Amino acid sequence: MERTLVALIAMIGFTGLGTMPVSAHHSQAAYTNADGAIQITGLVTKVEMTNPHSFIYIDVTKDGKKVRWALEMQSLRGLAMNGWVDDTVKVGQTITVIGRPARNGAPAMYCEVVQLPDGRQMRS
Amino acid sequence: MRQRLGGFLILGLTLVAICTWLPVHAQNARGCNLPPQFPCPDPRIVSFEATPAVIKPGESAQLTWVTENTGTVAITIAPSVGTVVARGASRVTPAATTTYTLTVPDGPGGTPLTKTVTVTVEGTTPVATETVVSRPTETPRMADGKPMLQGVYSMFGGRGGRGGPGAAAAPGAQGAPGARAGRPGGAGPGAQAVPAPGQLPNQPTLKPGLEGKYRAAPPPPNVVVSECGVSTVPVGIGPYNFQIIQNSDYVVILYEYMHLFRVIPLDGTPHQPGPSSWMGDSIGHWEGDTLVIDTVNFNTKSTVGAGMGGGRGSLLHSDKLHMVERIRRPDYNTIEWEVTLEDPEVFVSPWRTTNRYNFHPEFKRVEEYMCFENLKNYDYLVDPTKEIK
Repeated sequence: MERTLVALIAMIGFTGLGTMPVSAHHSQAAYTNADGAIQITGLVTKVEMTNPHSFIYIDVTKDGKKVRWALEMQSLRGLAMNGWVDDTVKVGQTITVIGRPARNGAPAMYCEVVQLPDGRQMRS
Repeated sequence: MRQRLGGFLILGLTLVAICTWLPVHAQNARGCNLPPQFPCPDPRIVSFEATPAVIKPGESAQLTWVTENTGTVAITIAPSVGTVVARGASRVTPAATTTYTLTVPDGPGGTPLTKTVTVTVEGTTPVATETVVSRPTETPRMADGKPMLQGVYSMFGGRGGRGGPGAAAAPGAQGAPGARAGRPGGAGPGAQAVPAPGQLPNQPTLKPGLEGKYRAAPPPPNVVVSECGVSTVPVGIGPYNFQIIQNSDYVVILYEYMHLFRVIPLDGTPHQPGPSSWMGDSIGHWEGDTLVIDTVNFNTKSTVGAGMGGGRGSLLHSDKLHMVERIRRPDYNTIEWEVTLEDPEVFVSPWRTTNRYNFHPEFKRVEEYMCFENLKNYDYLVDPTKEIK
């Protein structure tokens, strides 16, 4: 009986997780709210200035292990309204980013601020 | 075992809570969705220059500027240039030596940021000029006297009322920093208000017995927008801009979202028989200062009653879906869009929404939107062990 109940409760939880909306424009729900924000630093491997959302990918090294992070940002217009151009961030740069990480622990975040190598911070 | 059961109970309930959590964008004052220990970067003026800085009478100079972190605040250059984008250029031909002022109204601590540049016109005396742009208020008009609808509009800060006349947002709603886009055509599941007497509801209600056939299945992960799914009816433009181009024969609406467009003849052309389509067949005419667009012949693949791309709460419709849009420009800053939809085969009554969108004179065109570039592998947001490529 208890085992059935355990399975049922776990199933409810994981069924809910499976229905998390994660398409591009519902992806906010896949990331934590403001309180979960973190800051990480990594080496830029790819920059995609695209609609509907732009992305930067960085390699973050922690305890000798390299992990690739996907940083989701605003639309092209949203970035342009904050002064971004194609080469604001370049492959090979080391940047520090602040954002809300994926709730499921994946190395991904909705990136709110990018700190460039020269120290400038850009809303993203 | 009982302890383990309690642990699983907490885990299960926590996951349910997470999964049903609605994203409340508690953005801070600058529009970042971050806690106080991570302050949002302040706006800044990086540069403001005139080239050449000295000209002869009748010649022009080019002003160029770069600002950063300005978001949705209205950046202006006075005199004569007006509202501008974060980075840009403008050609000026002052008759006499003129000092131009670039203003970002919401700088650090809420204090405006300004920077000036002077274009010297040889042989002239500097003239005193305004440093703040006065924005027009009157509805602009075309040469034929009709209201000028053309321009680029956004939903930032323009969320309107619902449920018919009298329910619209406060006039002159401006693009408040960080304001979120409204959903055209629907308030989302559970948001339906009881309509006042004589008013239409703001959401469609299925006729009894049709729930199974017309309730759209929730989209699975990784589909809809991220896989280029087209929008709901009316077009779900979300946070993206749209542009109207207008003459006396046609109105063309260009939606940044998914590169959608509508070409609407105004010459009395009746609806054309032909294959159904995502955008339907639209014809338009003027009723005084109101542009009325009538659209039929939608295909039955699109949905109604939810946000763009078709989210939770989406409903399917029949080929009898009929949309009437009434569009007004009550002032310089705003366009008002009333949408009435009906489908007598599927829904109990027509429903109506009204949205206001903000005019952006600083934008000259909508952006590109190549959805194939956004076919992201979002699997990692479902399964964290999936590789990020």
